[in-house]
Amino acid sequence: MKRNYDGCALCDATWGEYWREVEGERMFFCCSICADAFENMVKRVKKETGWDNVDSVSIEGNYARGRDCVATSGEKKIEYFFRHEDGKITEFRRKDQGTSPVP
Amino acid sequence: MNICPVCGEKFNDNDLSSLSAHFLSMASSSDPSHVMWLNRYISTKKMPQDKLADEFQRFYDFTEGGLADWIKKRFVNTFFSKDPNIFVLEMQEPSKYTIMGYVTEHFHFLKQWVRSCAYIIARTDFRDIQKYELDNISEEYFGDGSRPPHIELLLQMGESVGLNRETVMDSKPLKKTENALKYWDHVSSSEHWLDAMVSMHSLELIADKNVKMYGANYSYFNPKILNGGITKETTQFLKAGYEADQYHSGDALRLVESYAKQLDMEREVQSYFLRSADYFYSYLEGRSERGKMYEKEL
Repeated sequence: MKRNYDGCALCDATWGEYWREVEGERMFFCCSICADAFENMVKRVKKETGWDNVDSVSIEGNYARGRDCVATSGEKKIEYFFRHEDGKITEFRRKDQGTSPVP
Repeated sequence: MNICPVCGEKFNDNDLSSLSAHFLSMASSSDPSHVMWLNRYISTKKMPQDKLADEFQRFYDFTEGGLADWIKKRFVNTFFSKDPNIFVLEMQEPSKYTIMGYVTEHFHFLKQWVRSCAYIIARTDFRDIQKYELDNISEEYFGDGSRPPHIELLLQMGESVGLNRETVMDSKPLKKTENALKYWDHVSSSEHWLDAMVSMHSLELIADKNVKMYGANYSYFNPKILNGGITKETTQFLKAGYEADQYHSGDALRLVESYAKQLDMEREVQSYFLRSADYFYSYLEGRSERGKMYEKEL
């Protein structure tokens, strides 16, 4: 999966030494909470779009601001905003289709 | 003495080398709380211990402006930066559910508040501190005879948006609130009274209307609310806090600064402030969470 960060896949931090396999790829995270948030975010994107796989994720933002993202799968693209707390997604909004409340 | 602002581990030195070694060790094991603290306050980029110790020195340095100013700037940076706490963001245009969440969690906060102030009185012999806390308890919890106490104004604010006081009084605090209250109860009952004082009264900066002087991008709420909020009770409660907390926190921080110097506790006081601010951050998220629960339920 192509990403815009060299450090932690969610927040780009280089502290920590936490690795987890997400979508078949071993990824670096600064901590387990970032790994949970990233993994849950990818699952949510797949659920929202019906995609079988996610090819790339680009993330801008932080915990307090929330994160603006673009994900792709082949030629398809989704732009969205999400927040998390303790790794659980608390807000997910497709930018083109309004707010989609977390069940 | 110094403490870790994340886990409270105590260190018997003030030079920050033990603290930076501790953080490095916790970050190496990917401890989420320590890593998040470093990301938020120091840097997202890993660095060796000597450089981290230098960064801590810079972070804790209060030579410019003094201890009280350092606390105000740090508080503003945490709660009122361009990426503020989510509850501060919601308070710019609060819905009735935001207010309901505020009332419910804050009711529990005020119950702990009065206990903490009472502990401080019980644990010091300094009369100016005792008098300060006594006045604060009266205003927040019992009233001075001419005006209702803040806790009554809070409950009236809830009622004005359709939340009856029995619901509030019978509620249990959410987990984030409960964790914060437990911490403040522990600090107030078990640690030095000055640590308790800075832990509690620095939090009153949340309603200080002078925060913009310290670089705030936001204030606690949009001041236009004072000219006509959701309800007149909302305006009345926010106005009372706005006017009171401003001098509360200013007076308290002047006392803290003075006694911290006198008792050689400046570093310790800094860390207790930081730790309390982190619990407060989470507690404010609890208010937001409660508001969203009401929105779903009602």
